[in-house]
Amino acid sequence: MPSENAHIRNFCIIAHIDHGKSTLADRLLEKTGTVNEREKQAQFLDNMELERERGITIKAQAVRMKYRANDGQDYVLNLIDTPGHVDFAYEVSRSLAACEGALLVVDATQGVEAQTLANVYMALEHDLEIIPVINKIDLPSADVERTKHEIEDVIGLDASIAVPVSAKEGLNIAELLETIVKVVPPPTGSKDEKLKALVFDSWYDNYRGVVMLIRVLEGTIALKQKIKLFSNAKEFEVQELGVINPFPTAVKQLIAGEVGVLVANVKELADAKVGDTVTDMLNPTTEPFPGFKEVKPMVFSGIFPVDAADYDNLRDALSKLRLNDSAFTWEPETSTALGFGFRCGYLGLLHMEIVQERLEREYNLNLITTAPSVVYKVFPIGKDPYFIDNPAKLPAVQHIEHLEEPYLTCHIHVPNDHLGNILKLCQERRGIQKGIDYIGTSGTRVRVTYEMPLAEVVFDFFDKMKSVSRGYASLDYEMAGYSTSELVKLDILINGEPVDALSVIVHKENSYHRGLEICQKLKDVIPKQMFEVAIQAAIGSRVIARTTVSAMRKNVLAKCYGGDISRKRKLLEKQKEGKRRMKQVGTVEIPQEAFLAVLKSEE
Amino acid sequence: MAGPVDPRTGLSAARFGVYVHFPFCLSKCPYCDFASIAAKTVPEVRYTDAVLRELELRLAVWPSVPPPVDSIFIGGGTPSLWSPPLVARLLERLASRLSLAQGVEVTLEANPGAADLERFAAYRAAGVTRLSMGVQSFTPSTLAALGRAHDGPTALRAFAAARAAGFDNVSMDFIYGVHGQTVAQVEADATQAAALGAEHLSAYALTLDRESLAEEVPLARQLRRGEVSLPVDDEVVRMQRVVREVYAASGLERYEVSNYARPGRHSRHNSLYWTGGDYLALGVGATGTLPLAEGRVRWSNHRSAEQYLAQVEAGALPQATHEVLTPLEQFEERVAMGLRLVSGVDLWALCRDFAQPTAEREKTVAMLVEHGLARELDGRLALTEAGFDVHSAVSARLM
Repeated sequence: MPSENAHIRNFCIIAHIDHGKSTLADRLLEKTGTVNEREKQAQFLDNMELERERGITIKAQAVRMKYRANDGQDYVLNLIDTPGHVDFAYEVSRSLAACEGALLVVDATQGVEAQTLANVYMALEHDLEIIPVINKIDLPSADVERTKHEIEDVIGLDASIAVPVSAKEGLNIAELLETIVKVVPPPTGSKDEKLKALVFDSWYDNYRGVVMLIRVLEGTIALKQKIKLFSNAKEFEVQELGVINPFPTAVKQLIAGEVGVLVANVKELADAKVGDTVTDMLNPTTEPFPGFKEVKPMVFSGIFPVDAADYDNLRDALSKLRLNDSAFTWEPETSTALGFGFRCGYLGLLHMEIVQERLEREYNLNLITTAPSVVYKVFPIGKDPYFIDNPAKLPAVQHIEHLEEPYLTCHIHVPNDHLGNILKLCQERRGIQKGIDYIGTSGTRVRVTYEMPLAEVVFDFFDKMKSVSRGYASLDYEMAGYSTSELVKLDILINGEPVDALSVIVHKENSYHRGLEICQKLKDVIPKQMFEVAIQAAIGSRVIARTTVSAMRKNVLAKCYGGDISRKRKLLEKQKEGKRRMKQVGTVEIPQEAFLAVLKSEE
Repeated sequence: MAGPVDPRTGLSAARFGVYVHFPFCLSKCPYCDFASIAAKTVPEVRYTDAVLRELELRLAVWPSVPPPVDSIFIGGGTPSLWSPPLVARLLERLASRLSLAQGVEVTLEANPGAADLERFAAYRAAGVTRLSMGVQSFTPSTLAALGRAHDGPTALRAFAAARAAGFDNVSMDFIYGVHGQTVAQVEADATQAAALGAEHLSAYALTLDRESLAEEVPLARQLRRGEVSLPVDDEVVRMQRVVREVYAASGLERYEVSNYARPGRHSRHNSLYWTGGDYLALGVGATGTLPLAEGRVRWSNHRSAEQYLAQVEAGALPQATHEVLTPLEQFEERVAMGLRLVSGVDLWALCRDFAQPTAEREKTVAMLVEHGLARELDGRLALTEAGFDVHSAVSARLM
């Protein structure tokens, strides 16, 4: 007798950004009858407004489909969608861990794209069975044979099982479903074992509290069961179990191999972290699912309300946001220039932008975000070392023995044609080359490994890497620990007053260049004031760069008589309103964007 | 000439004035945004009747007895096209339906091209006490650029005619910052104006930006299309400096951003606008501000003569807009207008009058003083010459 989970197939889709992942997912849902004509809406999987606008998936999703195969048997297919950005690499790895198979979508007109490689390798590390899906065969320029050849040559996958499809036209979707059933192995694990389930995503729901997406690896989870989370030993009772097909449907239990939704009266997202293991309270498993790691913010910036009266609203918004984004952290911060605000931590810059956008959009706040910083390790003279996430907190240079900054080991997959540009970029970003390996036998694909300061990677490296490789390079990284660096704090003075919120920590070699760059940037964004404004960059007491915003020359209404008073009052009110959107630092009015201007470097 | 003094600015200014608009012109000037109508024949009798009718309509909704009138200003348009007997009829009616204060200032705007001794004498006999002449420039190229029909000698003749008609209070308007104009030309205009010995001079920087004007003017369209270009700000500021110095050397002191006068000869009527005074307005496009039953009300009449006439003749108030000013708006206006005056304005008293907080403003004032943009003058806050150049920026920060 086959085991209970022999008819389950758990798989995900790996695809280059525009190779048709979402369209393919939609076809699978339609072909299996999971969504009907009426319910069809383009790109079913991305359901957050922001995700749809930005065309990226932030949260993982899991949809259950029923499928009667040609062998006459009914199968349950769970499609697990994965986040698609480098900021969310850990979430990707947990989603992959919930699967046994992966569809690798390759565009028949484009061939294998470097960006997909990093995810393919990650999938292979999780021992997933990979089915190449050659998409867009409806296009005249499609070359299925060449694409198969490339898959074998470049990735080293068996392309004999590759399924040519057109997701757009719905061609060959039936054959793909058959292949999934045949090739993706059923889950292992027994429903009678001790419960072991992987949390591969979690989010906060206003009505139900924390909702977890789980993959049951061993045993059975049932309603009312007392459960425990492995990492924090916190105990809960199962209140709700469900599957998404594609609307949430309640079930009484989930057994080994199944994927579903778990609600257990968990109040805070921090108690149900992605990667954690759920087990039975009374009869727990001895070993959690390996690979749990606390996702820690890597980038920090200050968030301040433009209007100090919004401080309490901002704090409320941050605590609400934190409920459904446990990777995001915040704590109060005081700036002499910007007043009371919060120091916030993010996974990366995209995450930071998303948080900022959500605060402004969902909570209607007018905010100033300061330039992001990584966490530095300070070794003060005669005292114990400590970490700082805010350049303003760096002590004076005479009190510092040395500084360390975090490094990443970065693996970049890139076609040979663009290798030179990538090496140059890594070199410019203070990278230390650790290796160059050719992949496959064609000699066209290269994997380069660099150790690079996080600070150099986190800002615009990803975008730069894409632009110098015309989109072909992909990045995958892990933390490599702290190393000593020649770092200095660059202070920015406005009319002689240091503005703490504008300080940045930079490498000594780049400091003059960066100082001038920041001064010029600020000169461009600070509007003319009623008097001249001097912008200076200084290291300690030494000024290394200066620009000047000249005073406004003429700003007066020539005539103002009885018939003009209302119109002219309104003009002045508008001017007053414009001033309100700026932050008064000393006597100078600085627009919001100035505080982020130090981030953008010019090429 | 004594008269009421506004306690917040220390300026002697009308507290209640009447503005009468005469919209008709012989031709339209390409920079002018006032309600004006170029007409070959002016329907002046019908218009006079309408204005007097409007006076009755306004009096009918007046909640109390109107105070004595300190000033009357007949502006335009080209009011010097208005026949003296009709102006006399207007002034007589105002005197009979309202009470005129002792020494009332009655100004009439005159176009130098449409003026002669006889006409001026008739206005004087009708009760006009002050003439304001739109000279703009004596320089042919500047007058041409401004599309003005008269020439320099005509303006000089008009001034002489005013004097001969017995006007001892004459003002002239000038414009600088005109396309193609040089600082030397501005200086020459200023020198000639000052030498005439007028009691009052106004010098305006040419303003064409859409937001500052009531309507888009033809010159602004030319500017937008790149057909003309105005002098850069630095140059315009230099022109203003030259004007101020030349006038001052002749005893005409600046008392407002764009206005200069011999001691005691500043415009009482215009001063009421800068000191929050009340004004009744009559005629096409005219704007009035009065304390009425619903609060401090500002209204504007229709800018089209047809609409205006049709409404009034049908017995309806001919107004196109109507707003009740909030205390904050009144405060903002008093601050911005008060700071236009060299005498300055008692900001803290205004904060008290309109219940506005002072803490932030105190910091701003300290900053302004530190940067030489403002100073304290007899307990008031007054802008310096440098401060006047950025009057809008300063006002926006104190409003």
